Amino acid sequence: MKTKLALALFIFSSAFALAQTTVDDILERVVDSQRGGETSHMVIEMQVSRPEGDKVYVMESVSDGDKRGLTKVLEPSKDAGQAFLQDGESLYIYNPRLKRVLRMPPSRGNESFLGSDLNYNDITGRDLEENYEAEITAEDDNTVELTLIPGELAPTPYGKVVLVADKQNNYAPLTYTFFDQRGDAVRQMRFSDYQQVGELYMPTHFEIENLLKTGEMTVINFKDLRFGVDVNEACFSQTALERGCD
Amino acid sequence: MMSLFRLAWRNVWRQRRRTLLLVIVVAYATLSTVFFWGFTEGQNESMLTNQARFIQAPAMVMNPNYLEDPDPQNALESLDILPKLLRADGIRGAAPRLDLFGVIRSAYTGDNVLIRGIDPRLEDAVSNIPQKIDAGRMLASSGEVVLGEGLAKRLDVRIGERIALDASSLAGPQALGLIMVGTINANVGDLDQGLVLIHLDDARTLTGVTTATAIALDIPRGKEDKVAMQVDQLFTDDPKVKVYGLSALMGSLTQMIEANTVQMIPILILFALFAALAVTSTLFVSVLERQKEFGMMSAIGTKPPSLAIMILLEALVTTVVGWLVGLIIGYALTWFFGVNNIFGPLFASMVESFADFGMSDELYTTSRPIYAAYAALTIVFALIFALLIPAMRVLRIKPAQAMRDA
Repeated sequence: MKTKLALALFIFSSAFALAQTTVDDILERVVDSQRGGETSHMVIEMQVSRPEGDKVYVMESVSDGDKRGLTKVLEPSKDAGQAFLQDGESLYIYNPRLKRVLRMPPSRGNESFLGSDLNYNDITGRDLEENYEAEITAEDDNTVELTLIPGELAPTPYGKVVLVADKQNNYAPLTYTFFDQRGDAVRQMRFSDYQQVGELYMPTHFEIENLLKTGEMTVINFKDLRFGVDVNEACFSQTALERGCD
Repeated sequence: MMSLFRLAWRNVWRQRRRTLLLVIVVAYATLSTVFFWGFTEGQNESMLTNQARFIQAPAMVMNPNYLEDPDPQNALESLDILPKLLRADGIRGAAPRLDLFGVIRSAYTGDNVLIRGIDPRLEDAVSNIPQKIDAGRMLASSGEVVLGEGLAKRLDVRIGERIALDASSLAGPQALGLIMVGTINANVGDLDQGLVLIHLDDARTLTGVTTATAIALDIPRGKEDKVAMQVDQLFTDDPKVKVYGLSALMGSLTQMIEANTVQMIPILILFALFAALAVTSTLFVSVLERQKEFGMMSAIGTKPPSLAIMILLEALVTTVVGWLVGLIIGYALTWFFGVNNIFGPLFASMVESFADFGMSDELYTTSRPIYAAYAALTIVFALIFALLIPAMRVLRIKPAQAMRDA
């Protein structure tokens, strides 16, 4: 009897561990899909919509597919020359007017990126994996919905994040919806137009909507995407911020 | 001399209406001066108290480098000095604090803030903030945060909800999620709009500092600088420990208060001058009206200098009576507004920027004996003017002509 009970417990706990791994694995694939995972070169077009008008940025970006990336603003001319270097957890900003490279303190990670609805943490962080406990809350043949609940003292102000991934595209992200602690949705990120990168499907069209402020939205399109390209190591140095790299 | 004084006293009360008018003028100038200083110094006191009890502390022990560059890496090297501080004369309490700059985030917005890590068991001794809890309760343990009421509103956070704090630290970027347990409403702009109080342990996690950036000291009001200087002498062998009194901690605010006080002096002199001129002009009219009387006094043998002294004594009697009446009313007012907080809420509701100047809604007037001396300036001026104009006229009097003209 005891042996049967132990066996049942073993099977149950193994099944539970497997399910848990699956959830974490899905979350990892979702986050990886968003970042690509290979060296890349692309042109980013970002449209920031505000009730008073729209602003369009054109940027050129190279990435090592992991934790390093260089992004340079090409348009509009007023902002052209600004450059951002992510090197691990450090972020450096080049201001062409000051002709100076400033190291951005990580405490400013929540600041808006070029006035958009995106913040620096959205670009560089892996907050979704680090701060939340995920569980599958809905699933059908094509999609899976994960609900991410932060730990009691997790460094996030959100009450939960509901994430929908595309099962057919190796769990590429479809939507992230951020809820406040009162259960109201406050921000939503929508992804589409996927491009296959190895096993992953990377979205090349992002929409980030502030659900609390009508008419505030940011749309990002990745263009001329090239993966697996040779990226010069010099691109990830501070001198590249000012002078660029080949 | 005594007979002259009796004569002056009698003369003064001969024209009761005129004397009453003079007494009122001098009393008004006196009470205005007393109240003016009581209010001005009360305002300064309010700012000093807010600095000592809310924004800073009566005195602080810091690494001198921290005062130059308030970065947690310039924190105190050790807190072993705490027992020595508590044994020092004039120190009633001590509490370590760890201040850091960071970002506070709610689900709706974020803000750059100064975060203060405190030991909740000790903070009561050096700060009045724990008594200004507006909603919820004071910080009790790690994992909790108390915010200024204005900041909480701006972030739209409610009690029991979590906020996130991000900070750069010696150990790299750090972030914490903390539950808001209370809000503070001290009616001090800086605090209500930007206060973030967290537990010392959480501040240490965010910074990687194992000590504190300062030790706040409780010293009786008015003795902060003196005691700080004395206690500082205990640490002359350690260049990384310095004790700063309230004036040093307040920096430019001290100079602003001093400048304010200096600016008050011309106004005070103007008050005294106007009152003295009123006394002199009335006296002068009185001298003109009493030509016959002075002529007769002179004719029966009173010497002109005695007549001049009598005029001066009349001026002295009138101004002293007015001064005493003014002092009684003035000190009564400063006492009343010194025990009843009427001006604080009144000004706080009328002037939006009141709290931005480091003032709270508590504003009490002060009553110091020196105000009586300031107000006595009116008497001095009145005597000088009386000597210059009415007394000089009496000195030049010719008895026959005076009696004839009159």
